Amino acid sequence: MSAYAFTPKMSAQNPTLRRFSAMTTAKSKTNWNAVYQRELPRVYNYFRYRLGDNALAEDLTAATFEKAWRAREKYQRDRAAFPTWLFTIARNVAIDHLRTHRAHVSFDALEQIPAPDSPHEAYTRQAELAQLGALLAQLNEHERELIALKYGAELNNREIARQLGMSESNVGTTLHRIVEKLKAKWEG
Amino acid sequence: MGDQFLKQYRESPRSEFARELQDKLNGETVMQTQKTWRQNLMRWSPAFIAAAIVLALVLVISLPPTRALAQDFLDLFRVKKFAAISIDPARMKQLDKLNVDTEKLFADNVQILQESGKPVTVASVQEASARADFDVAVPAQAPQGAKLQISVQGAGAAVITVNVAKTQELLELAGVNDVKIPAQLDGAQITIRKPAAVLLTYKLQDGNLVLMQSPSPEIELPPGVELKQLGEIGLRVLGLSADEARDFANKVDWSSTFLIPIPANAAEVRQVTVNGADGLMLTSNGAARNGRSLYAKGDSVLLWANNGMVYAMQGNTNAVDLLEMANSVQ
Repeated sequence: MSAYAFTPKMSAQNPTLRRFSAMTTAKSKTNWNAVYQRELPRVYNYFRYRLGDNALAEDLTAATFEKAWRAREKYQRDRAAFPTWLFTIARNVAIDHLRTHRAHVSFDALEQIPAPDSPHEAYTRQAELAQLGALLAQLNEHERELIALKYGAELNNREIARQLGMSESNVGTTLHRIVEKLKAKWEG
Repeated sequence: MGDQFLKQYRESPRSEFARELQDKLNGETVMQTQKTWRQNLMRWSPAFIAAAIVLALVLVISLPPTRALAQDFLDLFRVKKFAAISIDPARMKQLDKLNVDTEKLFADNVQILQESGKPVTVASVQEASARADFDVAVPAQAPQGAKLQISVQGAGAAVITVNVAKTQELLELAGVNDVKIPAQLDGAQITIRKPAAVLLTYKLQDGNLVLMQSPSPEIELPPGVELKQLGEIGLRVLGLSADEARDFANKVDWSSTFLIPIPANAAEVRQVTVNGADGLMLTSNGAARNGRSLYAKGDSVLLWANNGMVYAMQGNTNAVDLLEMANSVQ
């Protein structure tokens, strides 16, 4: 053990120093950069499926991660899986947004999806997505939330059940019914 | 149409959006360390408690009781000197494994007088100066092509009430059984005041360069507190033997010294001069506890003070460039 002293000056509350101290002392077992890379597309697509607007999805994704990052020290791995915790935040962000922007059902996203190489494929895909967007817009809030969590956030039925306070089997049944409804309207 | 078609509606976020958000989150990570006093004071890991004992008890300077009584609470600790102490990484791991619920343990011992609030992004150096109530210095040699983000963290204040029994309990958990916290310290109140801080973040393609500046924090001490003795205890927690702790404590100017424990394998430490003032350059060697490090190999942190202000500059650049940039801060 060695001890050495220097005589520069510094703040006890210096954030950079505290960050440096964190390197040496804090219990950090979560690779937040990896978490960010993994969860960003899921959160972003959750909002796209939920609200149908790419720009809005970016805004709300940013809001979600900012909230999560500020509170991440509160996240306790023994209490909930990280996606569960993160999507609880995301859902609250969506709820807050919908509360203040109830009428917003834009589907700008559909026009921004990169087109395939073939003009015919591009036309077909654009048309299909436009139709899907219109159908999603007809779903009620609960149905839309289920679709967004399943296909946007890519949560499994158990995780969705935990988020929405439903049974896992009820999630499966309800999702099946929604997909069948979408399918019927699509083919009709 | 089925399940697969619904999945095809997914797309990747724009790369610019992903990168900008990540930069912002990384910037906030730095500022977050100052976000709230309660979090700062109560979220410490057991290892950080060891440092905290040094920072809150050792750092909070030893004053001769008679002098303190004469000045009647007016003695303030201000950071004027800076010391690094090399710690055995194995000891840090030991402390890390203690798994003490410090939030519960010290829940009743921290009173927030002033919340520093969330960092606020401002549009200009002038606005930052007005918000922070000091003239913000900028490096004349700023990184070329960098996008500058300016944030201001508000002032904060808190009172810590010393609880001898709980602190003693922590010592025993840390395996330090041969020292006793002076009973007369029980109930002593230490007030910590942190002025506003300004963070200049230069966003570069290969990482950020950050300059933090703030007036020195102040710590108000009750009269009669002999913190040199407590400093020795903190050093014992950090793994120094009784002789080493006593020897080190005798060498430190406790009236103005901020002490940083650094695992011996984590960083290179060098004393430097910045604008005529003493400074400390810490360069991470990439060694990681728990398999990772917040700092990549080569990341440097430069700490210095001038005219009552304290500065920290951090970036993934070589120490010479960092020092040159720090010398241009005016």
